[in-house]
Amino acid sequence: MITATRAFFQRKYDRFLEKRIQSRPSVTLTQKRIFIFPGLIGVFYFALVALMFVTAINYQNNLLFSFSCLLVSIFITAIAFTYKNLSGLTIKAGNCEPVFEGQKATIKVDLSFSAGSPKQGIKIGFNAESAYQVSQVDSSCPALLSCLAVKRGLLTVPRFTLFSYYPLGLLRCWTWVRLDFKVLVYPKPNFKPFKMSSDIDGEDLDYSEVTQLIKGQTADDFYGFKIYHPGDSLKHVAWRQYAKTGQLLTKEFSSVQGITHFLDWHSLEGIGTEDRLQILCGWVLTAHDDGIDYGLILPNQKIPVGSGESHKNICLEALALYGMKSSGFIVGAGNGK
Amino acid sequence: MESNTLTRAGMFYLFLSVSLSLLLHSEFLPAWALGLAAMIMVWRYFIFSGMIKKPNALIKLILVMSGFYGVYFTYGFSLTIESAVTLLVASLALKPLELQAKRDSYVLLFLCVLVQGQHFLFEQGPLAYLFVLVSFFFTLVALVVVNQSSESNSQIKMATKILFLSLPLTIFLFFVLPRLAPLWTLNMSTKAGLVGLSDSMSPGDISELGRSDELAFRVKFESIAPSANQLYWRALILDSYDGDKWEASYSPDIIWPIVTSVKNITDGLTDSGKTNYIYEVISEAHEKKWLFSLQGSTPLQTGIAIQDNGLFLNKQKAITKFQYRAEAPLSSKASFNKLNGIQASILPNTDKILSAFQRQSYLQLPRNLNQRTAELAQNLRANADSDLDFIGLLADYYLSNKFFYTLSPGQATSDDRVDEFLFDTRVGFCAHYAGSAVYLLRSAGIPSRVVLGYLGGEKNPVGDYYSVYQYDAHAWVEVWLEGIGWLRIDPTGWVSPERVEQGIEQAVKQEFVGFKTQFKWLNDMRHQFQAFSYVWNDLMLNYKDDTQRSVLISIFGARDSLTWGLIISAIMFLVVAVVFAFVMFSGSRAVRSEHAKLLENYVRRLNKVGVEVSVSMSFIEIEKAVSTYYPQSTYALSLITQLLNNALYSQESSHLTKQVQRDYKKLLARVISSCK
Repeated sequence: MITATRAFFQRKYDRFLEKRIQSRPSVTLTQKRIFIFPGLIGVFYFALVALMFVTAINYQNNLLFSFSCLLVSIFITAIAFTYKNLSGLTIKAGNCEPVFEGQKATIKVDLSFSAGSPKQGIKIGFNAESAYQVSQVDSSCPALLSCLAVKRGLLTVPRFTLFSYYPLGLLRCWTWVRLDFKVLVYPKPNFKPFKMSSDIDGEDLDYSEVTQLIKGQTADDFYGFKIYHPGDSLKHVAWRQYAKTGQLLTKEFSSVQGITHFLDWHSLEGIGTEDRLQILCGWVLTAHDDGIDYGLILPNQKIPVGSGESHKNICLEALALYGMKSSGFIVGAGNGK
Repeated sequence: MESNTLTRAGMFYLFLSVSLSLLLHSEFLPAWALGLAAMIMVWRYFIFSGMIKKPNALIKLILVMSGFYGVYFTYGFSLTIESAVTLLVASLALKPLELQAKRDSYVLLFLCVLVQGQHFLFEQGPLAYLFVLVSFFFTLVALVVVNQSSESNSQIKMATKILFLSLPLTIFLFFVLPRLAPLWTLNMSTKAGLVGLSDSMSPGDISELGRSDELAFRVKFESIAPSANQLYWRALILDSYDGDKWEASYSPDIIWPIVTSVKNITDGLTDSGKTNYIYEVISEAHEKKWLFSLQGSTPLQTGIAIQDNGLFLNKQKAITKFQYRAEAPLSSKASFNKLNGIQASILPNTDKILSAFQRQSYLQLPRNLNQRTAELAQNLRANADSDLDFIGLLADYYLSNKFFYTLSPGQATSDDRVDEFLFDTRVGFCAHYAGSAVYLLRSAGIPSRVVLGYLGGEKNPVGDYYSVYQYDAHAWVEVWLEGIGWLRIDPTGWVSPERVEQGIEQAVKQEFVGFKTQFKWLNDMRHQFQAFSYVWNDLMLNYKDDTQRSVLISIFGARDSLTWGLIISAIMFLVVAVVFAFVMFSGSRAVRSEHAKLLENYVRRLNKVGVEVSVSMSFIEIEKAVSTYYPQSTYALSLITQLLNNALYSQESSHLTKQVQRDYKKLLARVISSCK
């Protein structure tokens, strides 16, 4: 009965919060968003004050009476200070690294404020139990939350809470926030041997053929060195030269003429959408790691052949957002570095 | 609430708060409690610094049991305030060992607050109040430390703000909150072994009081004050003697006068145009019902009874300081002169008739004791023409035999105490003189009684009031004279006029325990402080009931309770609103980043030595600008640029570490010295 009632009120409360808290890129806390109520310690404090008053009255002790008055006043002043500690705090969605489905995304929340003294003892979390205390907020400070990415696409970060008991621990001051985080969730990679389709003759190559090609290529078509740039595959770094000269160089290969490799949606006939995306994701990663130039063909999109970290990110992003409503998120102009 | 481990600062302020709270009670706390607290805190510190492991449950249990045993050992099972507070203190002393989580710190700090509050049950002076406030302040600091971020260092500032901003509301609440009557009667005494008069008198009791310099009560005359030798403060009348002790056995009739109007000095004009003595007594807590009054006084407030022997009686035991006003008639010179030069005065406002029962009580004597005294009484009686004459002869007897006034007369050895005193030892103090005089009077068939109270008092010239100490305790005699009424005589005054005229200090000199000094300024300072604590008593301790009502009425006027409630709530709301507004808008200057602060400091210091740079420049630009003028500082400048750029831009948070700040200061000093 009690649990049912509690669950009922919990639902009501959740719905109330859901309505009240709209998702936006950043939020500045004002009295509309800050809740304040005595915590458990505050209730004990009141018991203490009551005990003092009773003692003062029974002993007709005016000094104890004045001390009790002081305790009451301290509580009331603490309301103002506790409220002030949260008010004016701006909570902004920070930049977040993309993750694969099933991984934990690290959500960065930027806390800042423009006026007043540093914010102390603020805790942040998706609920009060799992909250942790962030360090003192001197003008600005990042806080990190961890959230499981359950579905590819854009991660919906649930509402989270910020609360503090500062300065005296008697009152709990809290708020619930929902921010628009731009966290890309890539499909969970499914590493299957891949097929590539050639752009020119449309002839499909299977994995072994491709690797053969690559092997031949690495052996035969070594072209020369170029200076390493971040994003170049580590597999192509000339480690021997690095050991000798201390300079990072990348081996360059002449690409196999006439063949541009496409990872093609259409080559996976008869498999469900999500599975196809997962397989494609696995292919992209494999191709990237093996240093193969590749392109991506999706029913609504074609990404030309390329290589490098940013190319990989563009491809993964396309896979992540495939079939999603473009919720103001421009495909291709994403988080890739 | 998850368990947060304590920081070093947290531990420090927690222990400070605990120590101060314990020290408040150090006066009566048994030594073991203080020792235990010190030991536990040192122990906990060692655990904190990792030198010792945490104690297991068994050790904790043993400690708790020994704490309980300590309380039992010291106080037994009697529930007094001391034992209760000691129990509290013992738990406060033991708690630090358990200190792990945040929740434990709250328990500890709330215990501290409780213990601090209990201090007022024992001490109510202004200094005590100050001490409690100081220790409470550090409890607040500890609370802030527990709640703030670990790298913060602003706890003192925060606690000060909270305390001071709470004061306006505190003062307001103190002024307006009604003081309820006690919710239930308390039999817990606040002071064990309280020094003061007791309701029986055996030789020894008063000499013990003579060695106590504790304050008994203070009194302020609103009218002119009687001369010091007339300040006989009556508290108790003892009528029954069992050969050893004098006790009160006769229970007098009691009336409870109801005082309707506040009486002022001008109302007290007598027919002859003189005012009566109007005085206000602030009695220390003595846990007895009796009050101190001059002979013939009537109380000027409801709630105080007068007995038919003229003594005041309070409704409840005075467990705290108690204040009352009374009026006493001027002692008339006319009646004084009748007494043939004997130091005596007729008590005004007493009955002129003695009932048979009263007469019997006031003539009671133990049988078959003190035969020599009885003989002496018969001899004197035979020579006396009247009762009054007998008193004269009595006085002559004490004057002509060499009696000696001392606080340490030694133990009586025989059962005939009075005989021994009157004929053998002849050394004693007021109790001996009063007791033996009443014995003689009763043996001669004259109704008489011993009165216990205080004589005199030290005048405080600053506050214009008298302090009466325990060593002013005195016993004297009242005699019933047919047709005249009760007469006060003081046998001690016959033997040692100094006691009556100049007070006990002059009478006993070496034996005096009160404050004595050759330095006038020291005594002046003492008077100043005492005058302050008198005002304190008047304002803080007695601001309740009638006083509160009249003050509030004088400010807000008399109103019905609804209007009254509205006014109070409105003002309270206003006070809270002002405090809130102050909190919200104070210190709301724009936050400058660490970067801006540093740049500002850097530019200001360089401008001082005459280099034209501005805050709009970057560190590198500044470096270039300065090094063109002062090439010798180039190296140090480049180091600063490197340091600051690294510190401010390479890390996630732009928080400057202490090390960086220290390095910056050093380098800047080098730059500036090379610029000169």
